[in-house]
Amino acid sequence: MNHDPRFPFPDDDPAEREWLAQERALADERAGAGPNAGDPAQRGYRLVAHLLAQPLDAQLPPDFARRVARQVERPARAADTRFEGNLLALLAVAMAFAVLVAVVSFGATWLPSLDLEAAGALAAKPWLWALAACLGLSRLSRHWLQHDRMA
Amino acid sequence: MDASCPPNPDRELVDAVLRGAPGAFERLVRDYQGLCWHIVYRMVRHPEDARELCQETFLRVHQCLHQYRYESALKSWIGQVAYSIALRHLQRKRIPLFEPAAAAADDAPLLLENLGDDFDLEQAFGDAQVARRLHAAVDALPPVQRTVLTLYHLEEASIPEIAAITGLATGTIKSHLFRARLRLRDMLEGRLGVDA
Repeated sequence: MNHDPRFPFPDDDPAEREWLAQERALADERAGAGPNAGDPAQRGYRLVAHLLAQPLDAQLPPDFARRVARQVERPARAADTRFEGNLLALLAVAMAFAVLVAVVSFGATWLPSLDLEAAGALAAKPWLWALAACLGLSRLSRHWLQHDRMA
Repeated sequence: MDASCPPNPDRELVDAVLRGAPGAFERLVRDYQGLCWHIVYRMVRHPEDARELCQETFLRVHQCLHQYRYESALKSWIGQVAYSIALRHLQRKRIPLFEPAAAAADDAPLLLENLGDDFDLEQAFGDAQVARRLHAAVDALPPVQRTVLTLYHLEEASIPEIAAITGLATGTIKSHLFRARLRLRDMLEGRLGVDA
């Protein structure tokens, strides 16, 4: 007697027989059996199994994984930048405070030795202002560019 | 590493994501986006909603990955997250998840119908209209039933894996599979005009 060893003999329960027919049709489909191979009584289930194994009509966009990963990394990077920024601000405040303390403590000895007239003459030179403006503009443009890239 | 204990790819991937290795999370998403899509799209049917829910799924996975304890396969754990997010979406929209008990009982008289011997299955395999009809019939199934069917047939998940993802008992899953396939076969036979 021909019997498929993958499946137990069905008992008399029609539902059990039907379940086994469904499973046998699925196994035949996965084994790549020809469409008309196997039990003709199971052809309906073979067709169901074949069609259910086809890809869904809609799919995720091809760059889905990259976009989700970028979305997850962005807040982390923003948090890092915030931390760095806070650290820099703290450092700047500490340095300004140190300068103030140095001026208050030791300024009386070295402040009068500064040649204020020479400093004034240097500040009156137009090229010095132009240089400062260029440096400032360059710094600002870099800041704007970084902002655009983040957004 | 102990030679008798092969490396666990799930563990390697999870560790890489948790230590923030470049590209690790993108690889995790790529590996499991198909599973997520099969669950979520089959549950909600609306492509735009499904895309957003898949995105939400992976954001949640990233957020909660440190809580994953390897008690189930990573596939089942991610599937569970996707399933619960889709389920909550349907519950918010008040869409029934299961078929009414009366409809389930209606399947019984159809048990012994079959396609005739002269039916050309090869032709039906390539028939786009037949495929469209079947997919329309799948869409008409209740959300949980069509998701179980898709996981079993398309994702080739085993019944215990589906149980881990959906939290349903294995007997319930078998019952869903049985009724859904019966209904689809009967629908195809009816639409193809083949004598029973």
